[in-house]
Amino acid sequence: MITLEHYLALSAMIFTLGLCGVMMRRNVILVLMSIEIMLNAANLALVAFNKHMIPAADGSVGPDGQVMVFFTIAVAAAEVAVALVIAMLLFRRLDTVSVDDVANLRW
Amino acid sequence: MGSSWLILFLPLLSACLILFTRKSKGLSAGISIAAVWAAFALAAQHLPAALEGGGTWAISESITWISAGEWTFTYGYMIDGLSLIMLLVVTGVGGLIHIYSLGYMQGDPGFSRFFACLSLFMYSMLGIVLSDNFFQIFIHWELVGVSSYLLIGFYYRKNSAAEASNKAFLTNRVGDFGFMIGILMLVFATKDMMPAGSGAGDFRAMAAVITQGGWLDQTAFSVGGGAWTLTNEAFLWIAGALTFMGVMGKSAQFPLHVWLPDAMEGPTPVSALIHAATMVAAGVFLLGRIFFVYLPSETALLIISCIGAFTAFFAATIATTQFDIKRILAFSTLSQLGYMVMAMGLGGVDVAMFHLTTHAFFKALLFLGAGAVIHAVHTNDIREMGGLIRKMPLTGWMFLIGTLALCGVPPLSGFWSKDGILHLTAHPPEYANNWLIIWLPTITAVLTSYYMFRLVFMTFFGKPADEHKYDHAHESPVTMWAPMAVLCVLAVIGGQLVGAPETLESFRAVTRPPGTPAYEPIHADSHTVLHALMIFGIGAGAAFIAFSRGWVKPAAVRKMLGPIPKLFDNRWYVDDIYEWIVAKIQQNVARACNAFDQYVIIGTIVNGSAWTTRAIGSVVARYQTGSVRAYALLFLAGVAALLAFSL
Repeated sequence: MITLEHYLALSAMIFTLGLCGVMMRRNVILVLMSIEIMLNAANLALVAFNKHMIPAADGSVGPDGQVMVFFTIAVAAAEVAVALVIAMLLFRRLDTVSVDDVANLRW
Repeated sequence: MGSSWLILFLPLLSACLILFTRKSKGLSAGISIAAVWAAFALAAQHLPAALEGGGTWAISESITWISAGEWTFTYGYMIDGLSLIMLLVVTGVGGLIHIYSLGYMQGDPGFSRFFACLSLFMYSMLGIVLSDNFFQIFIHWELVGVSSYLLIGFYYRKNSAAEASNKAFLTNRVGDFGFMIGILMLVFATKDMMPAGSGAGDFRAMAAVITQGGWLDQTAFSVGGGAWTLTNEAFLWIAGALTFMGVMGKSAQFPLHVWLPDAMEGPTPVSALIHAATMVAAGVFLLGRIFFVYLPSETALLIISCIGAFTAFFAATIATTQFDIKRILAFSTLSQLGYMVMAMGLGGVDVAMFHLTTHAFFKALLFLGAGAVIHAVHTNDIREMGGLIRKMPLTGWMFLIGTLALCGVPPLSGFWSKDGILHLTAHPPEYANNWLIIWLPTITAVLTSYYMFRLVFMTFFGKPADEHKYDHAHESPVTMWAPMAVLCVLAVIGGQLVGAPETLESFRAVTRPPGTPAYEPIHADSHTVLHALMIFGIGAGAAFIAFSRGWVKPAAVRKMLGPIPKLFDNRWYVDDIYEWIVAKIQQNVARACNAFDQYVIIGTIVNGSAWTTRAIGSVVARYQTGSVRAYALLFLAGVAALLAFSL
C-alpha cells in the first residue's frame, strides 16, 4: 500500500536533489534543469495531496490538485523560455555559461 | 446705472489707459487730470441736493459681487453728506495737486508712471470714501496701502525710498490686521440680526442692528455653559478698539505713526496729496463712517480720544527740533491728525470732518510750498535756506498764509476748525474729562505756532545760509504756483465758507451721523478770538525771539532744558525702541526658530532619516555579492526560517 507519506518522501527527496543542483552546479543550464526538478517535486506533492486529502462529498476525488499542476507546468514552460533566452544571451555576450563568472551585478 | 459709478471708475480707467500712453507724457498727464476733475464735477453736482436734504440725504447703488451660501458680498457706492464732503476734498485737492505735479515732475523719467500711480491712488481712495460695506472698504483700504507703497517708493533706485515704502506698508499691515479682526467680529456679531437681502457688513443695516433696543445687552458668546459671558456691548468696544487699529495705521496715530515721517521720501506732490490731505485722513473719515460702532461704548471713545490727544502733543514736540522741511510738515500732519482723531473720540464727528477739510487745504498748500522751495534750492535742510522770500515772493507769502491758517489765526480757515476742536476739549464729555484731553491740545496749539514759525523764519527770512543755493533759487512755473494760489484762497476763506453760522449748520447736519451728541459751535466772539490770538502769540513770539531776532540763542535754551530736546531730536526714541525690538527680540526669536529648523527639522528628522537609511543600506549592501548561488543559499535560509517560524 502506497500512502501519502511515500509520495511526500519521494517529493522531498526530488526537491532536495533539485535544491542541491541549484546550489552546487555552476552551469546555468544545469541550474535551470535543477529548478525544473524542484518544480516537479512540488507537482508530485500537489497531485498526491489531491488524491489523498480532498475527497468530494460522495467520496470521489475532485480535480483541484491536478488543475494546479497544469498551471504550474504552463508557468514553468514560460519561465524556461525566458530563462533559456537569458542563458543564450549570457553565452553570446560573456562567452560563458558559468553562473560564478556572472557576478558583476553587485554593490 | 447712476453716473456716480463713474466717480469711482474714471480714475481706474485712467490708470489702465496710461499703461498704453506711457510714451506720450502730455497724454498721460492729461488723461489723469481729466479723470480726477471729471470725478470732482460728478461729485459736486450732488452738493445742492445734499445741503438741502441735510442729514437724511443719501444716494446709493450696489451690485452683488459674490454670493456664497448664506453670505452675500456687495460692491457699491453710498454718497451721503459725510462722503460727499470727503469726495470733494479728495478730488478737489487731488486735482490741484495733479496739476502741480505737471510742473514738479517735469523732466522726470517716470513721469507717466507717476500719473498712473496717482490715478490708481485716486481710485483706491474714492473706493474708501464711497464704500457702503466693511468688506469693500477693507479692500480699498489695502489698495490705498499699495498705491501709497508705489508712490513712496517712486524713486525706487534710492535705497532710503525703498526702505521707507516697505516701512509704511508693513506698519500699515500691523494696523490692518487689527482692523480685519475687528471687521470680522462686528460682522459675525450682527450677522443673525441683519435684514434679509442686505450684503455682508453693510453699514446702514449694521447700524440699524446696533442701535435697535436690547441688542447691546444680549450675549455675544459665553464660555463654559454661561460661567463667563460677554455681552454685545463689551464685544462691541473690543471690536471697535481693534477696528481703530486700522485707523491708527492709516492715520499714523501713536504708536503706529513711525511710517509717516519716513514716507516723505516720496515726491513732494505725493507727500501733499497722500501723506497730508487725503490718505492719512482716511482713518479719520473711517471713524466718522462707522461711528455707530463707537457710539454705544464710551471705553472705545476714551481710548480714541486719548490716543489722538497724545499723538497731537507728541508729534508737535518732535516737530520743534527737526531740520528737514518736509519732516517738520510731516510731524505737523501727525499732530493735526491727532486733533481730528481726538475730536472723533469726543463725539465731534462734524468738527473733526471740518478740521479735516481745512487741514487738507492749508497742509496741501504748505507741502506744495515746501516742494517749490525744494525744487528751487535742491535741499530739504532748512539750515541751508534763509531769506528765500526775496527770491520767491509768491511761494513765500502763500506759505506764510498757510502757516497762519495752520496756527489758527482768525479769520483764516484753521481758526474755525481748530478752535472748534479746542472748544470741544475745554468742555469734554463726562467719560473723557481728564487732564490729557483738557491740557494737551492747548499746549499743542502753542507748539504748533512755535515750530511753524521757526520753519518760516529759517526758510524765508533772515540772511541766506548758503549763498550759492540762494543765488540759484527762482520762482516756480505757473503750473506749480497756480494750484497753490487756489489752495491759498481756500485756506483763507474755507473756514468762513463753512464756519459762517448758516452754512456751518448745514455742514454739521450733513456730516454728523444720527445719534451723535451735538456740541456747541464756536462763535467768532472777542473771547474766542483773543484766546486763539494768545495761543498764536506765545508760540510765534517765542519763534520770533529765537529764530528771527536771535535775542535768545536756541543752543542756550537747549542746554537749559537738559535731556528734553534730545528726546525730541530722537523722536522720543520710538523708532529706536522698534529697532531694538526688531533687532533683539524679533531677531532672536527668528534665530531660535531658524536653529530649530536647521537642527531639529532638517538635521534630525529630514537628514536623520536619510542618514539612517544610508547606514542600513551600506551594511545590507554587502550581502549583494552578485553570486547567484549565494542568493539561492540566502533564499533557502529565508524559507527555512519562515517555515521554522510558522511551524
